[in-house]
Amino acid sequence: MKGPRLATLAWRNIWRNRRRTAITLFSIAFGVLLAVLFTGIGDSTYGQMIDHAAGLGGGHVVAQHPDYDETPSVKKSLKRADALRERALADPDVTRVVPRVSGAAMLSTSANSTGAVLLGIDPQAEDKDTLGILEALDAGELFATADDKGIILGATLAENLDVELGKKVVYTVTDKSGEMTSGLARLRGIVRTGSPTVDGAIAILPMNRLRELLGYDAGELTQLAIFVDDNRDAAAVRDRLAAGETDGAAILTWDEAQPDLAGFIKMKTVSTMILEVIITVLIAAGIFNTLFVSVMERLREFGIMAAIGFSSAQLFGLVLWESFWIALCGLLAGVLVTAYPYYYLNQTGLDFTAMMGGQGESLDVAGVAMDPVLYVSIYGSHAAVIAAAIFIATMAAGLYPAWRAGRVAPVETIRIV
Amino acid sequence: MFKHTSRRAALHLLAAIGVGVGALAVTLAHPVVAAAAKLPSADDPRFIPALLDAIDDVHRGDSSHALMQMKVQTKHWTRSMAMESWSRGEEYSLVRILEPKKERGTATLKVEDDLFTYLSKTGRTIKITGAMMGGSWMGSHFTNDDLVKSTRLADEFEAKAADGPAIDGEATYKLTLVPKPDAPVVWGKIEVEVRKSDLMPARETFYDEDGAAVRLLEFSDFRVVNGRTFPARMKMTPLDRPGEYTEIRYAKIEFDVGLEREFFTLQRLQSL
Amino acid sequence: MDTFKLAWRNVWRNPRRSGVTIAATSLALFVMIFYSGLVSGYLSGMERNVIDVEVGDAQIFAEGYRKRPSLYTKIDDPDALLGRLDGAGFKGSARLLGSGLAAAGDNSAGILLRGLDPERDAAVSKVNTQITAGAWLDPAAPSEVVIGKRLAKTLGVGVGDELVVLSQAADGSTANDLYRVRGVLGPVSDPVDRATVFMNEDAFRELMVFPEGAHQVLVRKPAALPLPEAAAELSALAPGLEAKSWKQIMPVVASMLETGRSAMMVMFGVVYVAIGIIVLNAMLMAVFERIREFGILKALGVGPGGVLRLIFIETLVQTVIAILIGVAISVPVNYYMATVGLDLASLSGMSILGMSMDSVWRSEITTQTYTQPIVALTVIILLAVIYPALRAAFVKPLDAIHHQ
Repeated sequence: MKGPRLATLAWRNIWRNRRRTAITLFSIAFGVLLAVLFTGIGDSTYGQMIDHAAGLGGGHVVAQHPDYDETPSVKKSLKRADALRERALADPDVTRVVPRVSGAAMLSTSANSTGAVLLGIDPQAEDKDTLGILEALDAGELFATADDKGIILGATLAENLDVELGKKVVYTVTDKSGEMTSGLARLRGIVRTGSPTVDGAIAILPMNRLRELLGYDAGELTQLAIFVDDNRDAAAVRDRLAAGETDGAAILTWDEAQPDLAGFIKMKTVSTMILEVIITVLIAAGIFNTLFVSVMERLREFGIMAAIGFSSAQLFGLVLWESFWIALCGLLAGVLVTAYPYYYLNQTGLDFTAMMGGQGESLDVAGVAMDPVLYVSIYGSHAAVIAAAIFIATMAAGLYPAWRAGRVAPVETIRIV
Repeated sequence: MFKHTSRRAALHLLAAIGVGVGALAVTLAHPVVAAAAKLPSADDPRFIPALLDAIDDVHRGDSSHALMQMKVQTKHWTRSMAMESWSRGEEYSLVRILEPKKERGTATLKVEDDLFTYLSKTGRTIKITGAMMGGSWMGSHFTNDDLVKSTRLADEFEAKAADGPAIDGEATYKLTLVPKPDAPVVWGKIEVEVRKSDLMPARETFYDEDGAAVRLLEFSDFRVVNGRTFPARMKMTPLDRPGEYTEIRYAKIEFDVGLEREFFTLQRLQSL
Repeated sequence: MDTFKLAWRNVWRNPRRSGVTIAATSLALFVMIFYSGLVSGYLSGMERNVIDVEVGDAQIFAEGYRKRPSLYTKIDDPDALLGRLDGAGFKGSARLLGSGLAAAGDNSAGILLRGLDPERDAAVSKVNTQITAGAWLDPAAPSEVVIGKRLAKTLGVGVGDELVVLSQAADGSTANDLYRVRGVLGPVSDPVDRATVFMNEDAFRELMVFPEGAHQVLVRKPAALPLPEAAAELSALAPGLEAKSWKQIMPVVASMLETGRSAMMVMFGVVYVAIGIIVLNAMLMAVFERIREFGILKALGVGPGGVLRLIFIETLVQTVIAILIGVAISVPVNYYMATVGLDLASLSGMSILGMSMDSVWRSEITTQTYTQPIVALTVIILLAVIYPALRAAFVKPLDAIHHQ
């Protein structure tokens, strides 16, 4: 008997015991549903967190002076990064390239003075996608130009300085040559992210004002923040950029620049993976159970088939074909069962704040704010992995029963009866 | 950093006028007669710039050596310190604590824009940088930053002059200084009352942007030593902290003691 | 007893079929036990990092300290307060807080000072267990301090090195002294890692000229007392002071952990459902396959009740065996997961809201880790077997014989 005929026979066989097949298909479908939803939650929330973190920490890929990480200082700047910028913009995976100037400063008002982390931005190049904190703008507005005379402060910082919108803030920095210099700004906006580390320390200035004060040249910067469409491309973009002219910059991906957050995300992904492995093992065990029992039940039948000329390989193949059909139908059932919940959670999402009993406060992890509404969105590659895993698990579960069926001998079966 | 006391004091002006203790001893280096002689009449357009220059140049002098007392009164404590200071112009100064015993030898060295503190108890020297600049100097109401700031008044302020009230029987000019739009000055305005007779500042009031007075700096007990006039008493009152002040009194001062730049070294700071 | 014998014989009559059922249930039990250890390890790990090491169950401050920390905003008589806490079954430790500057060589950094009595503090805080190099504070070595890991890096110091602490003492004088680094902490929290210097209470008092009082009392509640009640009781024990539970002190961390807990519970539910399915699957197989046999029993005059009893006893026998096997496999695996664990980010460490989390994921094993899954499994199995057992009990003998 040839392959296609075996396939047809196997197809008919699985529908001979509809109840059993239905149970099996249901467990597969359920497994698909769980795996897709959990992976989807992970993909979407961690993707979101990574994008947020990228917005706070200098992009998915950041180019900076090689020593900046070890000892951050305004002296560790990139004189020019035009070549790198051009190449980054030309990269197909890169969506945005944004210059940044950062450093430490002392801020003073007539009431108080305190230390702060300075971030110089080009307001025309930045928006909420590149600089996540701007989303937390609680009062006031963003600068109009890079030469604006405003300053945006974290809420706690503004409170400590006892300063209101429109009032003066003097910022003192140590410039490139080591001299202390001061500049004047007026409070233009207040950001309230909910993260004590951010709210108590961040001071955002228009880039050109800061450059002038630090003694930077027109194009000089401390970081080039590079954004990609899909955070998984970050490593590839880094490798491509590092391979060419880098203007003397070190190029890091977000997880190299923010190991704390990377650690957290890794913990979450590992826990999702453990759960998925557990689910897969359980489902495979269930499938094995059904296939095995169904083979054992039909030993006499296989014995007869062997007696009328079916070879061992054909019997083996027959049972494997049965696993194949079950896997295929199971996946199909899985798609049917998963489609609506996935669509709903992808479009509408699940509002977590209500569940937590909070007042809409945003969560943040490692200083990165998380959206309280949970969306599900799975990466295509992950969906493919799930489909493959379930398919392989089903086929693997069928191996032993198939081998058992192939080993059947006419004599042995007759004796069983 | 020193959050319990950290207050932004008089910023530029303090140091420029020579209130910052490091430069204090030199405040009086300027010959009074010469200043008065150079000043145009009050209705001359050059009057105000000349007055500002006179105030700026008050500490443009030679070296000095002084003994002084600093008394600091806060809500929580009162303390008195005896200090010895050396200075050369406004760029170099060295102040050392004599009393109380516990802190004897602790000293501050200012060399141009750099500030170092020597801790006698531990024998260590620390360079004051960054956010530490906002910290209190020796527990007083002055910040470290007050000691190092130095810019010229005319660069940062628009000034108006009028007759001021008589202070301790001395007629004064009242200078109202409003920061230029881009000047890095936290104040809304500063009023300086300058004695007509010798162009010495007698009182300075610092206002925030809402027009409330937040700092008061008073000079008194003017004396003449080596032919120079100087205020032997200076008091700084943070008006937003009732009952608190820092007061400095001079017990002894000498001018033109011939200190060279080479005097102001880290070795000197540590070996005093 | 007869039914039991029959059931026992039935179980072993077809060892292969029983074997499959038992294997499936043992696997299910193993997974439940393993997962439950992992989950409680995860949850208590998160809480341990926050409560045990850094925050305590609650903290007491002088009124106004939290809003505007000041050396002078102090609890005047911490000893009396600690006495009242002890009397009410709480454990407390007074801490002295301050800020200043630390310098070593050419490096300097702003610091937070924490003075404490190591003996008393050990009863409320496990921060002493977070030492990664050197040792924790010792009252016998008053001039030795313990510092955060990033501070150690910023200052470029390690165990045995000297550092100068500079601050302003309570009497306005310049506080400065030389200390030797006795220990360096591992990741604790952002402020501790970046800026904190721990020192003995007496050393702090001498440095800061701060003879009496304290700024903070860290409190652990009796385990049985719920947190809100504990906070209320503390407020009564500390009149005129501010007593706050850790959830009030770190509301965002608390809601974060709460979300983590509910997410874990959801996953737990999911695993149970998956287990329910495999068990249901196994039971359906086990019973329906033998429906012909049950039909014959009924034809022989056994009533539905007898068939039901038979099936339930058979199931119980299999379940007990499965539990024994499942537990036997779980014990060594759990032992490994509880002692060694999974290291997820050995090089980088991780932090949530500035609270450092241990990057090694360890299981937490208590008797409940075993009893709950066993009970749950038994319930699931009994539920799963009801439908097929009822079908078997009420099958018409003739139908059963024709059953496929």
